[in-house]
Amino acid sequence: MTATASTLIATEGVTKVYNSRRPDETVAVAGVSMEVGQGEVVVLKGPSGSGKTSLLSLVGCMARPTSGRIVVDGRDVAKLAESVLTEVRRQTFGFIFQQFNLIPGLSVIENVSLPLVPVTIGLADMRHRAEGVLRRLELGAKARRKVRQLSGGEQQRVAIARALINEPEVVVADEPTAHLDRALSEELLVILAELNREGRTVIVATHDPLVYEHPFVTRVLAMRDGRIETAS
Amino acid sequence: MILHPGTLSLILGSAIVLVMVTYGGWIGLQILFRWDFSSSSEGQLDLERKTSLVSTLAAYALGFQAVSTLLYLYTVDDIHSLFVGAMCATGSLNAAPGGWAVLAVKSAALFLSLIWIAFNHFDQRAGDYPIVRFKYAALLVLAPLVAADLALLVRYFTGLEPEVITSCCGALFSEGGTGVASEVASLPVVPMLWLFYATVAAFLAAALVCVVGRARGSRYALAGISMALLAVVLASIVSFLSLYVYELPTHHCPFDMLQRQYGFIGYPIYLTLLAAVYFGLLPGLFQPLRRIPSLSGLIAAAEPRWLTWALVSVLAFVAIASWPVLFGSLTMIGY
Amino acid sequence: MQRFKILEYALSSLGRRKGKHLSIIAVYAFTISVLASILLLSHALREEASAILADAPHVVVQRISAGRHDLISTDIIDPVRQIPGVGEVRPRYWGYYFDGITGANYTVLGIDDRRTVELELLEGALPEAPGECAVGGGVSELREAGIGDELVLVDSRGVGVIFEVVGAFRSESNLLTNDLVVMSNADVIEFFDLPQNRATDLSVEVFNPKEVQTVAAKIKVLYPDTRPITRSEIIRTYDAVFHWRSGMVLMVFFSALIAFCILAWDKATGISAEERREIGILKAIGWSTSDVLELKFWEGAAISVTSFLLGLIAAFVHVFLLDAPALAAVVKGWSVLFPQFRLTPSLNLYQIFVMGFLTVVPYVASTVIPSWTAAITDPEEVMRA
Repeated sequence: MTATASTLIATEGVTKVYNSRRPDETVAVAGVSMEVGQGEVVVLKGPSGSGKTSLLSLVGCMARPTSGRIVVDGRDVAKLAESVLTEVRRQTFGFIFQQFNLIPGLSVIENVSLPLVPVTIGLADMRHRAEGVLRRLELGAKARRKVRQLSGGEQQRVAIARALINEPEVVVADEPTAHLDRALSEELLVILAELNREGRTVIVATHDPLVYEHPFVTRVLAMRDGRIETAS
Repeated sequence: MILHPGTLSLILGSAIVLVMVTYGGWIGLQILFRWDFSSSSEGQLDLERKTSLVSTLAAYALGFQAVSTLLYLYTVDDIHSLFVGAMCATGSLNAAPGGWAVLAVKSAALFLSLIWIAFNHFDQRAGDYPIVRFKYAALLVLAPLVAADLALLVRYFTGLEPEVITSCCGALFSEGGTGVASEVASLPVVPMLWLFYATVAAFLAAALVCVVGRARGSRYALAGISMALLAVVLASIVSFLSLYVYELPTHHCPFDMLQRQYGFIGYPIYLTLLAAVYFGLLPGLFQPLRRIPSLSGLIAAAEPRWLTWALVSVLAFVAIASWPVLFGSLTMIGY
Repeated sequence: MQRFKILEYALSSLGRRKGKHLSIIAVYAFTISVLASILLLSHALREEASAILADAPHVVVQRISAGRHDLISTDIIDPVRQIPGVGEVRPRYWGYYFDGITGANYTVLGIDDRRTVELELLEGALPEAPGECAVGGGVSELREAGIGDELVLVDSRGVGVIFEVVGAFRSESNLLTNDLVVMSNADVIEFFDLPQNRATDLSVEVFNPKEVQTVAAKIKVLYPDTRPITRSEIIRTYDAVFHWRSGMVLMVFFSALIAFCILAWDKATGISAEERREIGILKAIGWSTSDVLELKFWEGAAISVTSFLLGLIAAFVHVFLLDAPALAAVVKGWSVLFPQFRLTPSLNLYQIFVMGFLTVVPYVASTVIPSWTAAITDPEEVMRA
C-alpha cells in the first residue's frame, strides 16, 4: 500500500451472485474486500471466470453488488438508485472496453461526444471538449471520419478519448489488450501510464503479462473463483 | 351520437389511458408487496427497473389525460348545433346526464396526475425511493378515477340524442333560472368582486409569508388558500368575469372564452389559474415529507421555485383577468 | 439544450436504420391518411351543407298525406301570415326531373321574383319570359347546354318541351345550384301539370329567430296535416347523418388501426441485436435508463410527426384535389351518376386534434413497453460480451 495515497475506492465483503435460486446460479464475486488508493495503478489478474470483470464492474459503479459495501470517494454506492449511480459513474469513471464498443455509423467526434449528450452542457462546449481530447490523442485530423474507416490502433485511441471526455478521476479498463497485437498493446500502456502521471487512478482487469508486469503498475491483485488470492 | 369522430377518439383515448394506468397500478401492487430497498437481490433490482416503466406510463397517461380534457371541451362545443336550444358547450353538457360529471372527473384526474408526477419526480431523485409505497398506493386510487371517467364518458355520449330540447347557457346561467349554475350566476357582482380580489390578496400574502418564513403552518395555510382560490375564481368567472370578457350583462358561460372570437383569452386565464393553484398546493403537500432525510434537501431547494411560480402565475392571472374589468367597454357597477 | 442533443441523436439513430423506420412511417402515414380523408370529407360536406342552409327559409311547410309528401294548398297562405311574428309566406314550386338521356336527376325550381333568389349568375340572366331557363353548372356540362342553347325536357305527358338557356349559375357552393334548372313559376306549373291552388311547399319567414319553434308549433296546430320543418332541424339532421356516416366508416378504420398497432408493437419489440448492443454501449458510457427512454421518446415523436404530416397532406390531396374517389360514394350517399362538383378545401384545428388523438395515442401506447424493455438493457452486458 502506497503510504501517501488516500483511499479512493474501498470494498467490504462484496458479493455478486447471478441467477440466484436458479439452476445456473453463479457466484462471480465472493466476499471481496480491497482498497484502491488515489493515483494508484491496480491490476486485477486472473484467468477468465475468476470474477475480475465482475469486480471491475462493481467497483466502477456499473452494477450493484448482491451484498457488501462499496465506498467511492467517501460515498456508499452499493445502495443507490440507478439514476444516481449513473451520475456517480459519469463523474468519476471512464471505461475502456475489451471490444472498442464504438458505434460504427457515427463519426469519430460523434462517438467521443456520446457520453456528454444527456449531460447539461451546450453543443459548443461539448464539441470543444471533444476536439480537445482528440487532439491530445493525435486524432484531431480524423475527427469527422466514420470510425469504420479507421485502423485498429486509431479506433483504440477513439475509445480512450471517449473514456476521457468526462474528465474522470479513475480510468477503468477491461482486458484492453485482448484483441491487440504487441505494438498496439505497448502503445496503449504508454497512454495509460501518461494518464496515471497526470494524477488519474487506473484499474485494469487482465490476464496479459505484458500489462501486469509493466513497471507503472502499483499493485497486482490475483483473483480466482471470485476471491482475491494474493496481492503484490 | 357515439359515432362522432370526436367522441370515438375520446372514448378510445380514455380506454387507452385506463389500460396504461391499470397496468401501471398492477406493477405498483407488485412493488408494494415485495419492495425492499436494503436488498440488492435480482428481484429487487428488477422492481427498481420497473419503477421507470410505471413512471413512463404515468407520464404518458397524464399527457393524454390533459389533451383529452381539452378535446372533450372542444367536442362538446362542436356538437352543440345538434341540440335544440344549445348555443355552446354548456348546452351540450346539459343534453344528457353525466356531461358535467365527466368534466369534473377529468379535471380531478388531471390535477391528481400532476401531483402524482411531482411526488414521483422527487422519489426518483432522492436515491433511496423513500416514498415508493405511498406513491404506488396513490396510483391505485387514480386508476378507479380514470375508469369512472371512461364509464361516465360512455354514459354521457350514448345518452345524447340530437332531438332533445336542452337548456343552454342562456337559460342555465341566467339569473332567472334554477339550479346551481343559476345560483352562481346571480350572485351580486360587487360582493363577488371584493371576494375575488380579497382571495387573490390572501394568496399573495400567504405565498410571501412562505418565502420569508420557514413556519410549517404557513405552507398549510397557502395550500388551503389555493383551494379556496380555485373555488372562488371559478365562481367569479361565471358570476362576473365572463360578463366583462363577453361585454354582455347576460352571458355567463365559462367556456365560450376559449373560442377564437374572444381571442382565446380563456386559455391564459385558466392556465395561469391552474399554475397558481398547483404551485400553491405543492409546498403544503410536501411539507410532511421534509422530515425524510433524503428528501429534505431536494424539497428545500425546490420550494423557492414553486413559490416564485405561484406568485408569478397569480399575478399574471389577476392581470389578465382584470384587464377586461378595468379597460373593457362594460361597466357593471351600478347595474 | 439537453433535450435538443438527445433529439439530434435520435434523428441520427433513425437515419442509420432507414429501412425499418421507413416501412413504419409508410404504414403509419397511410393509416392517418385514411382517417384524415374520412374526417376531411365529412367536414367539408358539413360546411357545404351549412353554407346552403344559411339561406334556407326559416320554416318550410309541407303537406303530408298518407305519410308521404303531397302538394300543399295555397289557401292557407293568408291565415299563416296572420300568425304573430310571421313575415312573408310564399308558395314554392319545384320538383325533380329524371333525365333519361344522362341518367341524372335535376331539380326544377320555379322563381317569379328576382329577390327570392340569392344566387350568383355566371353569365346571362334569370328567366323572365315563358320558355326561358337558367341552368346549374352540372346540368350545363352534362347536356352541353350553354347560354343561347336549347334544353329539351320531357314533361309528364311525354312531350318534349324546349327551353332556351338564358343564364348559367355559379354559386358559392356548387352543391346548391349544380343540378338546378330554373324557370318561371308558370312554366313549372305547366311542366309538371300541377293543379290550381296547389304548390309544392310554402316558405315562411319569421322575424325573430327565437320564435321559429313557436311559429312552427302554431302552424302544426292550425293545420295538422302539414309538416313544418325549421331550418335548424334541417341543419341538425344533416349534421347527424354526416356524423353517422363518417362514424360508420370510422369503425372500418378501427380495424386498420388495430392492425397498425400490432405492427408497431412487433417492430418495436423486434429490436435487432445491433440496436440492443448500441443501447448497451450508451448505458455503459454513462446514459441512464431515463436518458434512453427519452431517446426512444424522440424517435417515436419524429416518426409520428413525419407520418402525421405525410398522411395529412396525402388526405388533403386525395379529398380536395382528386375528389376522394375511394370514399365519396359511402359518405355522400348519392348516386354515382350525380354530376361532379368540387368541394371547398377546409381544415380546422379541432379536426387535426382529433386525428392526432386517434392515431398518435394508440401508436405511443403500443410502443411504450417495448421501448422500456430496450431501455433497461444492462450496461454490464456490454462488459461481458
